[in-house]
Amino acid sequence: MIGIKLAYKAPETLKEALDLIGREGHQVLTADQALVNGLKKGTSSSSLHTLVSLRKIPGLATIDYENNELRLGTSITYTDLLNHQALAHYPVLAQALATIPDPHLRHHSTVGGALYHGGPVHAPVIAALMALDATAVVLTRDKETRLPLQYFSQSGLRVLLPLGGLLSAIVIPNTSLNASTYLSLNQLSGRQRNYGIAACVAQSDQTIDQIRLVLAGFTEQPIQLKRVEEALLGKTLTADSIKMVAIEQLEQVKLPFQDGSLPEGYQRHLAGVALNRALTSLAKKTTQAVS
Amino acid sequence: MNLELHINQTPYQQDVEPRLLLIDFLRDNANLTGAKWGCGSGTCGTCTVLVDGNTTKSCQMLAVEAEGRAITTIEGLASVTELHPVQTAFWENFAVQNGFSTPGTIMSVVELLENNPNPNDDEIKQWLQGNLSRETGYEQIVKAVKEAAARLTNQHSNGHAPAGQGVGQALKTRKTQELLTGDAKFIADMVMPNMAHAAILQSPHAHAMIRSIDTSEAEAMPGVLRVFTAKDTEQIMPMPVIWVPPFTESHFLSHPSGIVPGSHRVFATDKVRFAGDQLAAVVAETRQQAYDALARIKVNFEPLPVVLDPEEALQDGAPQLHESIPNNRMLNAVFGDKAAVEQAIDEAEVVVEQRIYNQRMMHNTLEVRGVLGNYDTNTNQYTLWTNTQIPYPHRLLISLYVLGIPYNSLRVVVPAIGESNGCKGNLYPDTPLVLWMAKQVGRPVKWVDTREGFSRNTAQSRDQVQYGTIAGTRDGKITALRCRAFSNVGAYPVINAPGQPLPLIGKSITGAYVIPHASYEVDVVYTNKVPTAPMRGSGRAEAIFFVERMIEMFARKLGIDSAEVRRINMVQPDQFPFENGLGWTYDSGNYENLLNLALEKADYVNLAAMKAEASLRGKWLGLGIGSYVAVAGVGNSAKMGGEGLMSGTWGSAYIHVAPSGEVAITTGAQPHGQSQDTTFLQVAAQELQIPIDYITLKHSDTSNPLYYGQASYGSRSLSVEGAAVQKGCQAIIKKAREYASYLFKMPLELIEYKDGKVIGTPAPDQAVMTLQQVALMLWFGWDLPEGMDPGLETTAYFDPKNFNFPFGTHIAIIEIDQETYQIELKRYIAANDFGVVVNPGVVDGQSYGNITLGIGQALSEEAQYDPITGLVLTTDLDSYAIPRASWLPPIDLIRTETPSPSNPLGAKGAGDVSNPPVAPAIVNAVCDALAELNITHIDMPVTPEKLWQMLHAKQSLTV
Ligand code: FES
Repeated sequence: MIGIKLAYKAPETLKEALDLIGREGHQVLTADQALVNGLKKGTSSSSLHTLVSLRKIPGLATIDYENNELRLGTSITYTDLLNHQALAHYPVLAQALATIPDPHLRHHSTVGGALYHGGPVHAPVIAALMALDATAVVLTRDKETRLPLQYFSQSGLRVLLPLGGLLSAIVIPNTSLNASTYLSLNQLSGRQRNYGIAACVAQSDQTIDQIRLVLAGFTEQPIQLKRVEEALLGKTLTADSIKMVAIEQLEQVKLPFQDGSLPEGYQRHLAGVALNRALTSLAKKTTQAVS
Repeated sequence: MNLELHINQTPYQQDVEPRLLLIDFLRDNANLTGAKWGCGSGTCGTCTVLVDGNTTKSCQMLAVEAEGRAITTIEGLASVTELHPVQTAFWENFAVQNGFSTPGTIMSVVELLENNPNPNDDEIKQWLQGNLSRETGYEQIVKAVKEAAARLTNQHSNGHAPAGQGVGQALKTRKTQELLTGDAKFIADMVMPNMAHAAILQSPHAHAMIRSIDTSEAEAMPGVLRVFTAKDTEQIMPMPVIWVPPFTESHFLSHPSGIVPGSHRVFATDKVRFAGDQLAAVVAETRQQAYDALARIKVNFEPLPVVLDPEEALQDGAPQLHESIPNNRMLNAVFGDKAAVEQAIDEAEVVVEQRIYNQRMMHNTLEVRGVLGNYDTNTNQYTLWTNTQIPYPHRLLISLYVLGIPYNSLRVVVPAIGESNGCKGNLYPDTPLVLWMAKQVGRPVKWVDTREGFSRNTAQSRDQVQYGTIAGTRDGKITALRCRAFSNVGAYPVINAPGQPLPLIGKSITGAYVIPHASYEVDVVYTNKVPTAPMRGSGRAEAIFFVERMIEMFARKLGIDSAEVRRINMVQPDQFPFENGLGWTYDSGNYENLLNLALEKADYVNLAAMKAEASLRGKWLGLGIGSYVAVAGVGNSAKMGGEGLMSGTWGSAYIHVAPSGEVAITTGAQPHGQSQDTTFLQVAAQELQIPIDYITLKHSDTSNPLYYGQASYGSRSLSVEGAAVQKGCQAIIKKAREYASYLFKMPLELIEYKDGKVIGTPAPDQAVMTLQQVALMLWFGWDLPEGMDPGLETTAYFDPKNFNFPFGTHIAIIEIDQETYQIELKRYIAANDFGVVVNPGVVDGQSYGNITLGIGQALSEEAQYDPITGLVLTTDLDSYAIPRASWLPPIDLIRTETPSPSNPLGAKGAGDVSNPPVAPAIVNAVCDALAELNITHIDMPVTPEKLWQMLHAKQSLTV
């Protein structure tokens, strides 16, 4: 049962939808199950009174892969994505999706829902998209804006979509990555949060040109480890550099841990393990690719 | 809003509220109740349906979002003539127990097999992450899925060869088809004409004075029929307590009956004592309206300090829950000779001490509790439908002690019922309240709890602090064991509150061992937590965890292999009957044999090599042993009376052979997933030597022709109630033979009963009658011997002279990641002896379920409370994580059969008894893995973060 009274609208055009969601108390319903749960628990905004469903608007549930750019419509489900051949180009995203085995969650979690609702289910996918430098295409009545996914995570805290904005797609740009991975530390599923890290690297001559490291599950929204990334630029991934540079820098990063029931020290320790393992895995992959 | 969609290929069109969930639309609007409401938060999967072929938890989708979609529910799976292959495979592999989670799981599996026709074990377990089983675990489900896959790909066309019907045969369970098709009606599925709905307001404070309650706004809400508070229910008596230990001073609340002590009332009057105490109730036209109105009731509280810890609650100056109960102490009791134990400890060569906390558990059955009450003004009859495991005690206690109505005016019916794990064996204040409200509003009233409500009003369990001392000689002989315990029973006593902390734990702490001096002293204490009641493995679980941990630490201190210490101290086969010194007389067994079999299966001799190999992979490997003996088979009535239980505990059965030859048996057992519909009939079919299909088992309704049923709990059903069935069948045969002796004019000793016939052995071809012919002749009653009554029927009782004592050894092999401290179960071996087993398929299912629950206690489950407010924090299945399919390792079951002399079937309990060894086996494995790091004990649940903290603290000390 849902305790609050709701109105429901299912516009058939983007324009109608944009008109509606600009109004107070109107919220986009993305075919993502997270909102319903929030409504039942009473955690969704109390001022919410109208749901604006996107299900009748054409063109929002498409996947386009052109010129090495992947465009994911907001209503694309994780199942759609898992079944798409383009996913093979993005191991980090494929591995992040694989951490969600429950078929219901795959069928009823959407790319748009990830940014609209956040939460533990979406964290691995958001982290992977952040690591791939994806951008969100946000429409308002008068313009289209592209926001880097990093916009939605300020120091690990969740940032909502701009008021009246409709997320129409997420775009993963052409990348020159040598290797990417999503490493999950989740073991007894359901008992603890889905901890993991998305990691992507571009190298030339074993030297890091670009690297993205995004922790998932530790903070409200996945957090990019910029300080660690910067320290690794120009370095070679070795056991030493991982320990002396990456892990050392991680200790300096402020992580606003979300799970108050776990000791912070343990969460920080796990973050270190995740980083170490992900970088070691990247090192192995890049070495293999060279040889 | 107008909603159009297809369900099971049938078009539906209705006007719905936008906030209506798909599950509610299916259940309430389309009357398709196969999808069950379990958690409401997308975790359990009982509500699973297919939407356009996709697995969908219908509690997570707005009905309006299903516009234009094609929904398939469990009701749409089977054809008119045939079950779907997945349903058949579930049935044939014993993957169904109470069946509450079955429809949802089957729907998920259907999609899995569409996408992946040949999944392996891991793929199945991963896919089923979102379909929880709290009854049977997942082993038989995985088997069923694989078999269904084979059926669907034509690799397996014939199914299982049908098993025989006799004792020992894995006969396919009966009354299972309706569970597979979603047709079985559970309490939440029940509908009556003109039915109203109730919602009950629980206290949001754990301890507070009630200053005022304002219901005016709620009363004005749409659809509201009545709002009730304590001022309306003064004539309803408090809940009774029916376990009063005679050997100690106990402190309960008063009860106007003067016969029994009391407990809480249907509504708290001046004060609330736990966050869950009932304050008010709304009866409305719809459930939604009832809950909408409930949110408008305003209560003014004056909060009081809370106390949640039993040792703190005993201190002078601690918050007092009940004015008449000093220091919150319900009672203090001692088992064993304390002085002798002290002396043995003083004289011992080796002494080990440890504080152990057996954490508070929540039963968290996937089906919450519910009640439907009706009062018929024409007949003055009350009818109560509820998912209880004790219908006859409900009838007695509610009529006599709560509502004060005639016993004969109350009928209690149990519809299809989900698992209980013990929590449905209690009488809750909501139950008589709903029945009473039905009379007040003059309409049937239904109340079905919410998951959050369940977390606050349904009994929890365990929660005992134990200070243990074990002492012995340097060569491993245990000479003394002492347990000083503090049991936290929460704010009020439940009906059988002292049972668990007193005899079930106190007399069981010596486990499978000969311990010359043992004592147990307990303070049973009230706190501002939810009341506690037995839970699967009740009492024995706390006792076995205690002794198995203590023996492990004792062995570690001695530097002797813990398996060897167990062998040195185990009760030997020639010692039976064995008095354990605390009050139990063990019946039979070869305990060491099962220990050895389990060790062999676990490859124990190669443990060092396994550890070394794991270490190379960055893992600490550990092997843990849990040996157990568990008292089961309650009565004997006199012994239970001696413990303070104000009830008989005999078994009963009424058997009636109709003139048609059909046999109807009414049992005093109350099945809730244990398959008595199959096993009891196997017993009867074997005795009566007739086809099992001629026999029907009745239960779950106090209007059945039975004097009284003592119900099912604590692994008593087969060995007590089943033995009554056997005894009744024998009485039927006896009468048939006596009648044949008269008709055939032959001495009784020449009348044989064979193959369902009475045969005069001197002329077997002429002097022969089937049981049906005998029943018909006795129904006519035209020609009866002197003193014989017409009819072929009997009531049989069985009250065992002693309990029975199943036993065994479980072994867990675990690995701990040296970086993350995450624990992985690698193997599990369960060697059990349940005496004579009637149906191995059924019994294996019970074992898997017990293991699953034990894994939950060891690694995850604990009721969490806010230390300041006393509110339960674990209010859903996300915050209280129960084991999922992927947690479980491969499980090996080993079974020996040592008949129990306590009953003629030779059966021992098999229901909850194999739960107690699970948690100690796992925790012992963890401690074994970390032995080199000097970890000797860790309290449950053993979590990675706890391990990190302990090891981190040790490292800091070293630095
Ligand atoms: S997942 Fe829907 S009721 Fe549990």
